[in-house]
Amino acid sequence: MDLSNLLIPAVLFFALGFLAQAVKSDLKFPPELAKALSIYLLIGIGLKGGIELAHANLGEATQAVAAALVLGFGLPILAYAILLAGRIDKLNASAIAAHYGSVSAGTFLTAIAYLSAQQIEYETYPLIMLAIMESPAIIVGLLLARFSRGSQPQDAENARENHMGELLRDAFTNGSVVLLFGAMVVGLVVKPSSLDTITPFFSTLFMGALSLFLLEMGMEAGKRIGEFKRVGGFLVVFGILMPLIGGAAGLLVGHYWLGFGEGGVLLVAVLGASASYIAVPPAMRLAIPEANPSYYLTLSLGVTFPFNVIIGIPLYHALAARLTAA
Amino acid sequence: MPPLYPMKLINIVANTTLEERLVTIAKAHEASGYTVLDARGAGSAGLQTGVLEGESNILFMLAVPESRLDAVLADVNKLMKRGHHLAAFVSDTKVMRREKFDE
Repeated sequence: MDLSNLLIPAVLFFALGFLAQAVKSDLKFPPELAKALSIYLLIGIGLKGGIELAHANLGEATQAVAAALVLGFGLPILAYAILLAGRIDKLNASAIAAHYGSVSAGTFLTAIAYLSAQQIEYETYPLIMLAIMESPAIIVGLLLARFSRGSQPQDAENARENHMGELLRDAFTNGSVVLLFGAMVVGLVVKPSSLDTITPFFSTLFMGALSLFLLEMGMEAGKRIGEFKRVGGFLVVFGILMPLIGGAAGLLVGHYWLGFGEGGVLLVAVLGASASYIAVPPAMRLAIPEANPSYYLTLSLGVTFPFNVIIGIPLYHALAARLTAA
Repeated sequence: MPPLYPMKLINIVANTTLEERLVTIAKAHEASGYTVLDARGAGSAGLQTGVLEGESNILFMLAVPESRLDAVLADVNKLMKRGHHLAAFVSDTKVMRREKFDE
């Protein structure tokens, strides 16, 4: 595992943000900037996925979609079982599990920056998998919560909020999913000559914007350190253990099922390892209000995200290189 | 000084995802309007930095005549009972144009 590969702007800006927070710097970001940057990044990655999808092989794409669904539905159930074993109450376990089955586009893009810096080729199907994997875990989380509430009496409003149709609508219309799929369709149907007009904005500037986003996310992660005490030792350990489990699942799926090369296997591992901190928290806020947001946000943003960016990506890469070389 | 009329001011701090629910409550009780401000802070739901949607709060402001206060608070209480993390503050206030709030 060569840590010098981490010396890329995306990772270093993340570390800078984290450090700025640790030394109590007065550096501040306008809150709306992070939201705007995440919209920009999702559109940029969606467009790229759509353009590549135009050259995709239907059979391989179908396999990638199936693998994304298996990971998206399977990982949160595994996470839920581990959390229950650690005596976390069922509703908090459901909400946290949903975060770990879903994905972090920020971590995924950092992995792409990492691969690009080393000029390692990667399959583009993981881009489709990224879009697919946003939703299943939300559905699993909601079903687990519904199961956890069991026969608790529900008032009419509660019943409406927990209606399956509403839950599915929320899972599939959440902003990240709409942007990723929407931009993918645009990339797929627009003529390459027309795309030239937006390439400077969505492609040439992309890594710069990602660095800015990660600087801000580094600061956000740094702010969460103070919350570790509140969430407790078991959950902090879970925030490191679960990405290792998800990453291992991703490595196996990427290599043995999908037959990807080194870069593609790393990207699938990152999909398995990462936890959502943009799309899932608002969904859980509405659907599982009983769960404590401090737990799932601290875990996904304060523990798992930095772990994946600094340690996880080079670790999964080393393992992916070993697997694919064998 | 122009005449002033007593009203109840309800300030609710909640996650941004609850805005639609709060608007529904305001409309259900025929409030003539409401004001929403972005808010940051910390509480039982942890740190709310306002950077990501899951950790962004709003301050939802609503002024109603005292006769409608209980009904509005009963609906807000339903949200709290469902487990939503929100805080409601009620205070006496005075407004300059009663007809604007008491239609």
